[in-house]
Amino acid sequence: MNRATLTAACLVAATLVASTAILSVAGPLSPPAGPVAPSHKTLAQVEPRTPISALPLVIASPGSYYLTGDLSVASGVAIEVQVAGVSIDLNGFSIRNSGAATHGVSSNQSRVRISNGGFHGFGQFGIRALGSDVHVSDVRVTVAAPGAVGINASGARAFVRRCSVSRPVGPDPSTEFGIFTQGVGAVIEDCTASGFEFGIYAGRSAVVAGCRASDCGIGIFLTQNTSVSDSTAERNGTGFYLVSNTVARGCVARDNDLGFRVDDGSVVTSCEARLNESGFFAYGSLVQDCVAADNATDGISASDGSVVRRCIVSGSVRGLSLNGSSLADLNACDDNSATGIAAANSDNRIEANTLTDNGNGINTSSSGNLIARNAASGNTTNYSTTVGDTYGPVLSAPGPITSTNFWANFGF
Amino acid sequence: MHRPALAASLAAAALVVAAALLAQAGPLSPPAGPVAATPKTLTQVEPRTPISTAPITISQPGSYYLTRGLAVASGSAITVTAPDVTIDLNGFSLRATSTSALRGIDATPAATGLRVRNGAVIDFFGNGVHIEGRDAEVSDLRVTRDLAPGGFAFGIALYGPRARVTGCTVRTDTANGMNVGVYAIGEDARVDASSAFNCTSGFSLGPNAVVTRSRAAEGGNGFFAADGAAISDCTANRNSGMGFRIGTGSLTGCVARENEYGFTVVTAGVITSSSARLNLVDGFRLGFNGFSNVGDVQLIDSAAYDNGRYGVHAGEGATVRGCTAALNGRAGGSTAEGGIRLAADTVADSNLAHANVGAGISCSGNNVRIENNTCIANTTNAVEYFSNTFLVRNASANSVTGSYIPFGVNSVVGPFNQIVGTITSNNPWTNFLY
Repeated sequence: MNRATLTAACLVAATLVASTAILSVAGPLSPPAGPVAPSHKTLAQVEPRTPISALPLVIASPGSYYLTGDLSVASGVAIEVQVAGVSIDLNGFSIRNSGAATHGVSSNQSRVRISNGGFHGFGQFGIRALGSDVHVSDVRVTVAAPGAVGINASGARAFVRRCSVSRPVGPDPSTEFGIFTQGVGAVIEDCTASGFEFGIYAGRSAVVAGCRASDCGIGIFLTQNTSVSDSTAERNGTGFYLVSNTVARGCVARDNDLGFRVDDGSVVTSCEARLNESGFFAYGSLVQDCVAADNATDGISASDGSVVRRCIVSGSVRGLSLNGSSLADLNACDDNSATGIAAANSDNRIEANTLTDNGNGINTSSSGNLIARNAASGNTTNYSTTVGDTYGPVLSAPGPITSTNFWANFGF
Repeated sequence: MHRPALAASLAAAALVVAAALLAQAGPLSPPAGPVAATPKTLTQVEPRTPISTAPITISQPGSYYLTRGLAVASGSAITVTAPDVTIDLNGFSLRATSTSALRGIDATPAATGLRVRNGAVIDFFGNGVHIEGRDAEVSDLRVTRDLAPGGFAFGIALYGPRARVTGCTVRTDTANGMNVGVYAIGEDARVDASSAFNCTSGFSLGPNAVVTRSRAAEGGNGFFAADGAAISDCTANRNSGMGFRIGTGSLTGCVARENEYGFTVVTAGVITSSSARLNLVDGFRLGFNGFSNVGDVQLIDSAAYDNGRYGVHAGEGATVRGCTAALNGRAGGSTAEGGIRLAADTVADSNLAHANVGAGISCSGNNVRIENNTCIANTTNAVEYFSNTFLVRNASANSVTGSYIPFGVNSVVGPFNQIVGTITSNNPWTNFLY
């Protein structure tokens, strides 16, 4: 190979190497087939919702809105929704009353959603959303003014989930509702209410679950045809008020004036009332598999077709009080200072209960009760009946039971 | 070329190669100043695929979201033909603008594992959400139809097995506007915290459905489930048919009010800790198949209060235990109405019947066991029974016309004991009048 040939070969080789390196980073030079189209998202596609960055605001178009930061308003309504189908994501931020503002949100429209943030210090309502199908979730509301309401979602089918509403001080008769869902078919889940006259108010056919109410006049108020489960009420006037055919399961009332008020065909099962002034008050209802412990006056008071069954009642003045036409069976009443079971009116059936360490085991103050197959031990007086009652003989001899009377009551 | 020229040529070639390599490799030294995050791309900020127009067909798996409310005048708004698709309505709505628009979401059987969430589906003439694939999940949806009466429409229709419905509401304000609110006909459906209003049938559910914390109101039937259903903590109110109806299964902690029938169990099952009030006919109807009352049904620890005909109407083979029946029968009618009605081969044990209009407990058949019940202040008799009844250990107080009234023969009956004061009878089967 002569020099000229060698030189040419070196140049070609070097050019090839360089071209290969350049081509490896440059990509194809030809445009793709088809019409020109954008290959990236627009900002509007990335965040298609409408930002809210100043108040007060009137929303007159349906859509999805979100806060861009904490906001305050000095008067009137912070956000007024005038159209159905609006979602407001507070985005973790809060809206505050900085003066004389009355409402955090006000709306009469349906399908309004409010989520993920707080409303603080409004004079009348944190949220006032009266249309149907309102959803409120993950919202904190604090109010201070007399008469203020935390969340009013009183249209049909309201859905309130993971919200908390509170007043900094105790119940005020002029301060009405923490969470108010008067419309049919509400769901209230995992919410807390503190410091209102009514902590949680649930209308017809509501479902309440996993909620807590404290320091209210009435903690959880259920009007009719409702279900409440796995909820607690503490330091209220009345913990749970079940107005009519409501089912309560797995609930706890503690340190209220009255733990459970249970009316008209309601069912309370597997619940506990402890350290209340009175534990349960049942009218025409069924209380079963419950515990009433350390309530000051009555553990369970039942009347007018009520059944109290398989309950433990202890540490009260009167453990179980029957006020007529009721049935108490298979209960255990222990350490109640006045009576284990007291029948103040007639037509009660008291059977197969166990009474220990009470003042009176069973005491009737009105005739016409049936008392059989109970066992009383360690009470100051085991049995005290009234003329006109029907009762099994009281057997008190220790040792083997020699009586064959199936209806005998035992006192030992 | 002489040697210096050759060297120059080689050097030039090397420089070109080095320059090309450097252009590919980038700088080797870190930039000056403190380390800082590189900015996210918009695709990193929102990696999902936007949906900005309708109608649209999704034929690839992935995660999609609406960027605005969408409306269609015909067909389906979003059709899904691929598996493993998630659609976030992002708080927006799919809306029909004419009766030619049939479905908001329309998913073929190939669209398995479809998820649809967070928005509204409005006024479609057919099914608002129509998903044929298995393992569908819909959550936080509001499905309504107010403007399009007629047709045959389901709010949410899920045909595959293992469907899940959570936090959804289906409602119509127009008569006959929605035939079924939530139609989950595949096996093993799961429904939670959802509601159906004003639909011909609120919830229509296939075998082995689990339903919790849901409501059905102001429609035809509230909850209508095939065999194997487990329904708990639900309410049914003001339905013109049945509040709850299951073939077999369980109902726990449920409440029915102002329906025609509160609870109906057709074949076999258990109702526990539930309440029925102000239902037009019966609070609880046990073992009813449309032609006769036959079934292995237990009603336990429940309350029937102020229902029109019977508080509890038990078909053959049923057991009623630990319940209260009060103030039932106020709709009037035959004298047999009242608290608890028992067909042949049934058991009533440890119940309280109070202040019913009619008998506290009455029978329509033979071979019934009535034990340890308490009947107080019913307007006719405490207990009315037919032939071959086993009647023991009951108590009757303050009944208006009588206590234990036979209408047949060959019954085994504990002695009746109307006594005041100490019970002297040793007979453990005594029926008391007190």
